[in-house]
Amino acid sequence: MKAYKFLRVGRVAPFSEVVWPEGGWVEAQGPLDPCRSGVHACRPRHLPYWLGEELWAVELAGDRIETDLQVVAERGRLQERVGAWDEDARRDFAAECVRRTADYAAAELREQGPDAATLAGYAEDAAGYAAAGDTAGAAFVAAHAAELHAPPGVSRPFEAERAEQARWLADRLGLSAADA
Amino acid sequence: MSELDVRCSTVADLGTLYLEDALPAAQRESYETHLVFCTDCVAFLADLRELRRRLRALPGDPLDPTERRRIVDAALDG
Repeated sequence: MKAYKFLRVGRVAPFSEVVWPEGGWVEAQGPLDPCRSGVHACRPRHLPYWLGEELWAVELAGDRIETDLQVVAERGRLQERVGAWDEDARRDFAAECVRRTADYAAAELREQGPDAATLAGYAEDAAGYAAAGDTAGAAFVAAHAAELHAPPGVSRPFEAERAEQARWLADRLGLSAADA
Repeated sequence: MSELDVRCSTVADLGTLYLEDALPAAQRESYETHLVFCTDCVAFLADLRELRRRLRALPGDPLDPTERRRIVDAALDG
């Protein structure tokens, strides 16, 4: 199956610190066990949870396990780097997260909710992360803001905000809806 | 435990369990999503990892029993 993986600069896996080869397979060591053993990647809907510097399309093969946030497989290999995830896209995504956080704050203020000041602080936090180039931080703050100002009819606002972020990323990066 | 439940204090409390691969899978997954955006916690874990490495590099017991007794007695005597 096709999936995606965020890596640090130089194709370094963020937790195992394995350097992925540009060709050839990376193999799991031992039985699959999410976050412990196996080749970890994600679907487009999981992307906001794993943001990093480099985004790669990967091919996964063999047995696999899917969790709420990722896919773990027996082996995987890099197919191609998603070039659209560049400095401009990272900056624009962070700005989008700041805007969304500010929107939650404004909505809370309009509705005279008790958390308007807190949410305004979140908007400032998100802007601070974005200005520092910390895209993942800005995205998390937006999701946390959604939790505080749950949009009407949304039962799991944190996850709903993450889903919106995933849609933005998929659109911007041209990722196929079939992979979602 | 959801992603939202993992706070910096949780990362500190569960750091050793995380490094020893002793967290349940779902908890470990949430834990790692926190590390994606929290550079302070990443730095904390790096320090903890280094501390554990240094402790493991220490000799098993550098004191002989007589010397240990002398130090303990001196401490107890104030």
